[in-house]
Amino acid sequence: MLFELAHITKTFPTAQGRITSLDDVSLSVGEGQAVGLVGESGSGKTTLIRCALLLTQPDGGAVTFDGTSMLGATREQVRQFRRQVQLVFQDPFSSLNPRMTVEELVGEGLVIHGIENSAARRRDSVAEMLTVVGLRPDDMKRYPNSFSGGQRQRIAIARALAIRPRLLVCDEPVSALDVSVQAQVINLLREMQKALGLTILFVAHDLAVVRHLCAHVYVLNRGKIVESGSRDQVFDHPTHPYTQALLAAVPIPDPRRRPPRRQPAPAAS
Amino acid sequence: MNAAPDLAAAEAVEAAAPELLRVEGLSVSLPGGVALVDGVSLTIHRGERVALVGESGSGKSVTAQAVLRLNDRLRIDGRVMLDGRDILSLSEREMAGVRGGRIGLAFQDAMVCLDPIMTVGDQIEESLRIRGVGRAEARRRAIAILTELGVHDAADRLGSYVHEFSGGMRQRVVLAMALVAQPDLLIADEPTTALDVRVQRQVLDLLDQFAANHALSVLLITHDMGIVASFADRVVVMYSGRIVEDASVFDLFERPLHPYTQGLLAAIPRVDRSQDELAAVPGSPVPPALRPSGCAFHPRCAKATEVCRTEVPPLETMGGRRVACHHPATDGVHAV
Repeated sequence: MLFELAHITKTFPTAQGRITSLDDVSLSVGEGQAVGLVGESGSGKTTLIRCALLLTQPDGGAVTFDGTSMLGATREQVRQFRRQVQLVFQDPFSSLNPRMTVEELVGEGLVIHGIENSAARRRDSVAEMLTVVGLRPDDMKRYPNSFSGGQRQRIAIARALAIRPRLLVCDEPVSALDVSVQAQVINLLREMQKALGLTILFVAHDLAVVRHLCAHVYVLNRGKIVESGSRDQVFDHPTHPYTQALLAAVPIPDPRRRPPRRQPAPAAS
Repeated sequence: MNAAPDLAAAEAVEAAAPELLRVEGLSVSLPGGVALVDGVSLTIHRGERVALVGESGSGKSVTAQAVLRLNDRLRIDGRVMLDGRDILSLSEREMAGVRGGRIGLAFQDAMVCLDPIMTVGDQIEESLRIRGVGRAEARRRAIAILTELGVHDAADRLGSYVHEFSGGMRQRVVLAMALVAQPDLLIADEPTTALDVRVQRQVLDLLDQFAANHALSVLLITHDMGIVASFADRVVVMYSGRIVEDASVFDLFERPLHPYTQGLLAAIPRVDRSQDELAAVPGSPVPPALRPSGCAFHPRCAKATEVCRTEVPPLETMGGRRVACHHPATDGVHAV
């Protein structure tokens, strides 16, 4: 396994006592796999991402990347980890610094990690990355505000992929996009996974998007993994009542599948 | 097997029900001159549920705002006939009677529509009180509407404030405010978009039952084709400020005629089956200020020809539905 969370527990103090945000959560992502984590608001998705990226310390459990235990890792090990794990955020309007050009945004990781110190070669890398994500090398000199939402998310993906990470963590990366554009970004992530052998941990509330992108799925409810399995297993034969309820609630874009129209109820008085 | 009675019901509505709202040639522009909505015409019959669908910048919310004259900075042309009377020519005072009276309004963001320092009961009762309904009667009707929207201990909750409510409960309050004066038409702009999927389903089911009970007409503004398929009788698709297609929900999903509608439907990932590749529409929706010449969709359209670049296609009626395209589908295109 490239990336593993084992028995992660995280609690927060509140005025009413400690609340448990994550309760014995285990999850593993194999090299080259796309793994989905589904959860509603308040399920603990964000806390899980924060623990996974070492942005917050869990109360208990283990985070292992490529065989190295990351809790209690040395500074150098953490630096290596940050180079190999990148994050794509939900909102491409707030995640890109509006005062940086696309070249600076996409090339920043190459500078920070000392991967490419020559400005000319860095520009070549950025140009190549932009082509990979479906933008033009000419776009380099522009600022994020001159791009649409879908293009901005491409920039964010190029920025994350520029330093050739092994694991890409996506936090609701398409939920702010229009439907016709959302499909472009999902297809791009799929292509990147295939072409670059990229490993993806995809965290989202949209079940259909997760089904489309991820071969393996975990369902998080109130801080606990209630169900996990292959895509078809979880979506076609859910066993946990929570997963069943969640799937039953998703409106299907096919009017032939809807129940008969409700009749007026007898007047209540 | 579910489709048959439903289809019959939808057709019955179409055939028998009188017109409630008729929007004719509605154009809405900013003081600078850009047309956010460009010549929209649509009709809503009594008891009919029409979904107004579109992506960012399509003008779907602006259309709703213009119908209710909510933004007096916008220049509005055209006619909005409610029961045969043009409400765009009403005085501001008369219009205030229509808003929240004949036409109820519900918006997406409960935290914006609701007043944090007013009790929930006062907010729901307000639209009755300003119409001269007495305090006791207003309270009675507020309790009745909340109860019908699935709030079990409505009488006890009226003294609460919005922050004490969950997202789903807040959205019920927003709907209760819109519906308490027994409007003929509800305009709901993305009423469940901010909710988790299970709560969304509850709220949609409640709205569905309420609409059935009161023969309510609904103009549902949404970008979610799943919600459209499960709620609407008819769908009006907008792109860059114009209507591109208008058809019964069954016709639209089974046989979309406009390339944009086809692209939109093919781009939706499905939760009920595994797919290989999604057929993405290239490019992005254009904001009205950058609307291309001719058909606004032509830069993204695989079928576009010279005429698409130069001439705006008229919205033409064909076989009980309308489409604005120089090259509409004529074969049996199936998107689902």
